[in-house]
Amino acid sequence: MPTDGSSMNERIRAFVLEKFPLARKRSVKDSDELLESGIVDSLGVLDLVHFLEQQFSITVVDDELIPENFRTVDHIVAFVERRTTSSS
Amino acid sequence: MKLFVRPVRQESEAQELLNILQTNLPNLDHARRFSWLYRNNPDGPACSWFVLQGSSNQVVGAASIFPRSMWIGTQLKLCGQVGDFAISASHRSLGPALLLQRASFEPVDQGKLAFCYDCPPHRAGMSTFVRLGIQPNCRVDRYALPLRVDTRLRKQFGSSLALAARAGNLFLRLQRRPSLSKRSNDIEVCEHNGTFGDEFSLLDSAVTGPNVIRGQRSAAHLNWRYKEDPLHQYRVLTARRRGNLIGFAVFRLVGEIVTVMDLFGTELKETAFALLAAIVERFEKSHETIEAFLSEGHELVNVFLEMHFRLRSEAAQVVAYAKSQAEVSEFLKRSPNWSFNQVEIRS
Repeated sequence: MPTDGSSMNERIRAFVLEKFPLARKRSVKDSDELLESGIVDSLGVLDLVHFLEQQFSITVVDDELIPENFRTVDHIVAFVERRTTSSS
Repeated sequence: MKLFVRPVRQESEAQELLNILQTNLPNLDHARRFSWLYRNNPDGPACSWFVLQGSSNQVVGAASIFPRSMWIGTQLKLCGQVGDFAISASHRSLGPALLLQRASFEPVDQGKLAFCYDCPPHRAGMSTFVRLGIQPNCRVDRYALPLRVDTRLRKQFGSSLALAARAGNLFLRLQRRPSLSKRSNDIEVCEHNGTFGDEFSLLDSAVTGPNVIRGQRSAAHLNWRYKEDPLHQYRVLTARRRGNLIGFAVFRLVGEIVTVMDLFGTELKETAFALLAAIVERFEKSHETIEAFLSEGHELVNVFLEMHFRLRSEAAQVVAYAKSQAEVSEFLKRSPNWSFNQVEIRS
């Protein structure tokens, strides 16, 4: 997985590829559906949340566990950008 | 986009509920079982909730609680089993499921139910509880007893291993023989074809323990569950001593498998040996496997192992929710013995 020097997008994408076998198998792109395609299930969302909280020092509350924030890698990146901007 | 949860109006919104169930839980014919499961349950009608997408009011998920009378120690209480938990594939981001899971706690918090429980059959089903920090109360395991091997060998290798298959069948029969002989001579096992009568309710009341949690098996419940189920057919064996009902087994046949749904009675060890032996004898020539489901620590586990059943897999986790500091909540904290069969974990 890329380390701190990598862009947010690369770090999230690397995590998705490392953690979810279907993502590797299908070589997901940043705009590919993660939820509807079954690549990430609800336990996978929990793993993603844990990763985002650790990596980007944010806290994800229940109200933020909506499809708009986790639908694709692009959506996850946009969500984290909003959160890191709003908390800085 | 804002999501919100609200109760389903059972009469006017049944079709919307059926649509989300059939789309997301496609393995069951929900329309055929709807009235039976949601309206005719002798313990009361189901409570259901929708989770909707704010702008369009589109239904993106649903869950229900099915009332279930449970023995909690020596007290009979109305509880509820969470079931038919369905979320649209595009909305499996955990948030909608959390809204539904919390909604399912409401009847408990309002004092309408002593506790509710869910039985997620897979890891993903535990995600809401992980997020809420709620630990499972017990595990239910699947046990299996192979009756014969020839069908499987024929499917895999054709008839070339016919001799080996016959030898395998013989080995399994010889292995079972000592355990079959353990049954008591004064227990009479018969097929029960009629409805369940009052003697079953009396048996249910007679089998209580101070530290046990299990579903009630009243005649009304048994008739509803096994005689009126529109999707499945069941067979029943009774065990009697000098004419008095001391136990029963309910099972169904699907393909080559005999699934024991329920095994219940007084003097359970003896009764279970007699009932299981009768099932084995009836189906050892026609079926491949007998399977059964038992919670960890169930008093029948040792009987099953002595009968050469083997633990095959985890079938479900049982996760209960009770109102904080309520009497039931304290009972659950004392690690009671969850005496669950298949009948308690399927809705």
